Amino acid sequence: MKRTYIWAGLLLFVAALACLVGLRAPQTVRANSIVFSTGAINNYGGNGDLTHDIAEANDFRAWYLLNGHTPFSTWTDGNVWGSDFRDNGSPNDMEPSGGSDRAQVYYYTGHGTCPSSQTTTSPVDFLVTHGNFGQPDFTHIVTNSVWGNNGGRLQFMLIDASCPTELPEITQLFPIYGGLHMVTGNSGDTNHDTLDSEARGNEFGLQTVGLPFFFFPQLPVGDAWMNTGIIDVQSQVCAVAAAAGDTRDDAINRRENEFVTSGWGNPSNNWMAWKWVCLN
Amino acid sequence: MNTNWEKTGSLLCVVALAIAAASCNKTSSSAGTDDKSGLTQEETALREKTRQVAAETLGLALTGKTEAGHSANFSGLRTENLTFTQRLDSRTYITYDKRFSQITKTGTYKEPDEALLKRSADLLERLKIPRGEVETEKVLQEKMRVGERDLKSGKVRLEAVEDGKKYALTTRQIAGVQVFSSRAIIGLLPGGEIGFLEVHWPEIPAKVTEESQRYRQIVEKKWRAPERKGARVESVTAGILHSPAAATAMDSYAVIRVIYAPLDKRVGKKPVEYFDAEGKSITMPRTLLEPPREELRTERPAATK
Repeated sequence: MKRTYIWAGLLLFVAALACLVGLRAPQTVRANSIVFSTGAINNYGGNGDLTHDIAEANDFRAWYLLNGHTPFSTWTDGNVWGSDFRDNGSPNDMEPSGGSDRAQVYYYTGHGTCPSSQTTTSPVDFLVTHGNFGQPDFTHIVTNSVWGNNGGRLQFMLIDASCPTELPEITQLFPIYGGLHMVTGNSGDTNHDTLDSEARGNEFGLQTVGLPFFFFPQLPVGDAWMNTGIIDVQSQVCAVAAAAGDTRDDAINRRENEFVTSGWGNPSNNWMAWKWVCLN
Repeated sequence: MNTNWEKTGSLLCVVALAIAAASCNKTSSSAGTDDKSGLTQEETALREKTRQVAAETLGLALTGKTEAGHSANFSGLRTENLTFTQRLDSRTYITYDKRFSQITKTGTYKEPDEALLKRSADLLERLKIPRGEVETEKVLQEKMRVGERDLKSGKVRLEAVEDGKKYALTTRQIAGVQVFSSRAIIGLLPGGEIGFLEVHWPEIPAKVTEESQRYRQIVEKKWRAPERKGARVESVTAGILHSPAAATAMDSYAVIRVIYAPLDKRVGKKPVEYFDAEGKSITMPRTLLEPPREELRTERPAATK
């Protein structure tokens, strides 16, 4: 009898404390908390150094932290390795200190590669790092990256790097979906390119998670990128969001309605639905 | 003995219930549910003003249960479908209707571009955005496509490209000088109601606009952009930079924006730097007054498989 009273009392006490902590600091407790990583590069050793990418990733991350999500890795400059984005070799995307397949959301901001025109279908979908390890720095994601496979958990690969989701060759992206749900990026060319920006990632970060106590809305990833992926870009650059699916309808539903916090299962990779908006 | 245990247990229960009641009540008022008890006159007025902007200025249909509240420099409300927030330190308004994304159920806005631009201009006027500050107004047409890959052959069957949502994008200038950080972007539901709206059009202090005019004159003469290793100067533009919509800070500066093009033609994403008239880098406008604290590691351990 006495134990029943004590246990009941303790249980209520703990529940009350949880209520107290959870509601007074909503940013610290979320039932659907996710694990995310950021990789940001400003320093390219004098070869087109960028200025705003580390601040951009800090801003992106801040909104996730305020929502109670958990960072896995937050590397910058030389600590972001090309191998973090490759499926094969050693180290690779499962590297324990920063592989991109270790988190559910990976936000990359740095250089990519762009073609000379948007009509080409030559291989151009590269991420470009300047790592102190894990070379080469150029990673062709079409042939070297597979996410969500072999124990990997990446669901959303968010690329802020100019052109690694070129529209003319977007169907080449099918192999990257090893369980991955969605990829976002830009399409353009050397004369119509994304600009180094802090604002783009900041706004995208907040829109993908929202902020309930600011009444700031959370948007599905695709729609968040359609209106933020065109911030600080030159004309004719397009924001692109592509989702895999088990079926046609599944791929479309993910493209339109999946949030980073949806918690949906991994899709297969025989269907892909994508959408884009270009700054005219 | 048993009586003591019972007393201890009962006491714990009472304390627990008291904590739960106190914390939950306090939160519901401070976080802003529709229960207005405990609000100051100022808070009540703020909520009413927020409701007016949402319902009367923007015409949002606030049906069903409506939560309202404010935190830091944001004041907002939400219903089952709608979320609306406005900044208290800037002409900044954001609203999103969940149905905007549910295109397979609700469809997309199909009216001509002119109709969308007219509605956008009307909404901006209602929000008291100065018409004379509009630089460009354009419609961005979202496109959608689906592909199926045959897993054996690897061949991809593509469906036709379809039109998706439309966005009206408005950019800003003041006396001929671009305001790089301002914009209004608006998308509508099929019936013309607002599906998504972000208007970020803060008032710019007179000294900043005056300084931007001075910068424009300097740039038009022979201002020389600082060189950057591995890149060439592509363009130089005087303008105004300010904190983003998603922010708790509001800074604004006159700047000279230099866009560089990497010399390595394979490399995309163009470096951008903001300078003052003397060619010194500008401190970027702040985003968060109090960023969340985090411990960042600076040295990555040696790779292990």
